Amino acid sequence: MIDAIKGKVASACLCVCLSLATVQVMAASSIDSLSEDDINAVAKSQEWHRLLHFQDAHWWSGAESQVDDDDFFLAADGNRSPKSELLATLHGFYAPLPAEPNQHAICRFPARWDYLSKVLALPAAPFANTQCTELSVWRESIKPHSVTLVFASAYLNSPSSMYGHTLLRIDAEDVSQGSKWLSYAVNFGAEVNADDNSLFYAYKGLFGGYLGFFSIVPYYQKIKDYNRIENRDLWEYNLNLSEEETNRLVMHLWELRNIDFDYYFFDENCSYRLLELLEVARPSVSLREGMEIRAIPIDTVRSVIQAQMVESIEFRPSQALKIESTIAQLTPDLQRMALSIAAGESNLEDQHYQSLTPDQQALVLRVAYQHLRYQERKQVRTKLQARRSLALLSQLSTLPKVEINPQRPDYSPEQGHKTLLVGVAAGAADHEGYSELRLRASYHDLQDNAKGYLDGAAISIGELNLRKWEGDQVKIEDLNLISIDSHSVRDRFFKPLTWRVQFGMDRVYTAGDDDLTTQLNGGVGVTYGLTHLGRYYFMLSSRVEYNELVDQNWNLGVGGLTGVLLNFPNGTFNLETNYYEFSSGNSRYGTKAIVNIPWQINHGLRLSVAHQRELEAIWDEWTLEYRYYF
Amino acid sequence: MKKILVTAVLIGSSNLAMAVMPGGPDCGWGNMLFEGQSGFVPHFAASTTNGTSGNATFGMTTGTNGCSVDGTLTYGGSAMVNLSKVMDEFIVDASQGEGDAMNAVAVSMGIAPEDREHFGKTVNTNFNAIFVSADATVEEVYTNLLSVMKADTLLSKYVA
Repeated sequence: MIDAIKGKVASACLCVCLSLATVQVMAASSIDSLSEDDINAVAKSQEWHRLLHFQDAHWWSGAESQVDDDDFFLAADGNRSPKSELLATLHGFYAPLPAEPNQHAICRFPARWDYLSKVLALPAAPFANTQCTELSVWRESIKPHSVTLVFASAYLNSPSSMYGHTLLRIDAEDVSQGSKWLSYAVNFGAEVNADDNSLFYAYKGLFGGYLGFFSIVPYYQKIKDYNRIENRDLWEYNLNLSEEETNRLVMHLWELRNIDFDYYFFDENCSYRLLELLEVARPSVSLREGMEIRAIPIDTVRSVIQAQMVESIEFRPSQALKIESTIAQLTPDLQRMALSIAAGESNLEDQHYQSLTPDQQALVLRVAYQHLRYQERKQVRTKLQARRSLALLSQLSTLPKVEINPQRPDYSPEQGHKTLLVGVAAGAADHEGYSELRLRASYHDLQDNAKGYLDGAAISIGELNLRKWEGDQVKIEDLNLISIDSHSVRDRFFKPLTWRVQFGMDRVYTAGDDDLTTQLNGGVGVTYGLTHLGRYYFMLSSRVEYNELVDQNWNLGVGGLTGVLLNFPNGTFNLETNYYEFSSGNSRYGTKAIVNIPWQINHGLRLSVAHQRELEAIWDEWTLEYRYYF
Repeated sequence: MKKILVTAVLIGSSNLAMAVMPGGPDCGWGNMLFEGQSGFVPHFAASTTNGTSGNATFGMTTGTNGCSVDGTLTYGGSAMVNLSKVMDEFIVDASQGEGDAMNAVAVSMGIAPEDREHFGKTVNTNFNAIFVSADATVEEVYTNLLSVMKADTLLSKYVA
């Protein structure tokens, strides 16, 4: 067999100078001479399945490719049959050269050619892939040499981005001598219709309906989007992919140009697809295990680290972090001066300003400029602001350079607690004991260990807590479908809103009753810093309940809440009080204190004490829970 | 203006676009030095899907909607930075004499590593000659930058 193929290679080489038609005949016969066993072995190979994004059958789906685009397949049933696609691809390789060579299978599927020509020892292609002009121009522009996995950390005021986001950066050989800004970022995202409103977006993003595709843009554009406009820190995990592996990734990426995937927020998302690319680059690793139904970006980063693909980690602080670290270098007095200069209320002739050292002046002007720019993130800059900005920079250019070195967080995101949670608890209320079992699909609440996570931000989706009273059966205590908390601290410079939304079912204890009630609650307010340890907050809030066991099914509550959240070096403390007036005529008052003590990152002990009063009914309970993150 | 190489770009459809001079309609090159963000981005949406509207960009383009060809600086005919896209960062770096945007522009212009520090200092010293007014277009800024470089003994070779 091998000798036969060698012979074919030789003849194919000889045929280069002959007419194309002759090559076709020779090559086609060489494919026919491949043994059925070899074909079957390759059709079943992991490498081939990865190149086709073929997924084995699961209880929720049949065996098929996750690519949702006919253009990706040469065989009519290529998305369901790897073998059909293999045969069609082999024939495609030796098909006559079309008028537009770039459309030939050799040009369209360079990664398939690379793999198949080696594993099947195929005869030479009918023409060199240097004739694929589009591919070679594109590849030359990217100059692939190495790859970096980039994690954009959570974005406080955007709920869904609280899980973070990943993208790949493809670097040229001389990236350290040159500029990472000029590297290319590979992003998998959904193609959204600008006319869709937010709710529609969210729905389709979660449950399907959008098409996902890969895009490649200069890295500086991503820095602009994430680092500057959205104020997200970027963590760059430099991978140890060789040039050959990098090249394989890029060749496969070319195959996915303009190719649609179905996009799902939870699993077939940005991060999952990037893992597939890395698996193509390095066939010996399996990165997606356990992520078929839930691929949280930071978990995909962990998976890559576990596969020993990460060489080093770099931190690129967000614009907000840079501004904060500049502001921190100013006394409150000079902070006020910077604000007043930014607002045009005082100018540089001011005596106080003139009395400063050049270094202090530079800091004040830098903060004033950054504040102006920050305000303009969401609005069109006026001519007046533009002139003022330019004047500030012009003055800055004559002053000493401002050193801005935000401190890198002690914990990088992958060092935070893991994203699944199981908890077991014991507690008591009214002299009766109970035990609890909690499961949470994702991912972090306000009291969990904040190391590696964004302070004051929380998102949990899918959390079930079961309770069993002594001598009673197991009942649902609460079911949290989604809850989001965003507590950004307000100060002189930044005025973010605090907000909260939660939807699910919980048990409402009133006189003689403990009905499981469907509820939606939310609030808007403000959060301020409390020393360096934490924050306190006030919110106006409302709560809608639906309970089919009472006469008046619907109950609307309006009220407010206030709390304090402290992060000590070895634990978290949260105390919160709320009050609601309900449409039923009742009022409800509640206070809850939580102490959370973590150890070894993935273990925690949590004590909760709650007090509630509605009408004459008073309810007190305490719970001690062991929490394990995995 | 030799260094402005108008590069034909590949946009989604992969047709090689016709090359036209920068500054064409809607092409993002004639925009102002200080351009505000236009309007509020629906963040909730944009990040659920991590997408952008429409434009399936696949490298070799700066991805401006409705614009097939951008005036770009080129680096060895390959890596490119579009000055209009980094102007916000570049002007701050210019006031400081160094920074990532300054470096990206230097690399794009083919300035050798040993001359980049000098490039930064020169831009810094000549800040007012390069950024003459808040109404200036990016193209004017670029022309001024080239004039400053031409007048510098070390940097003139990069604009010759």
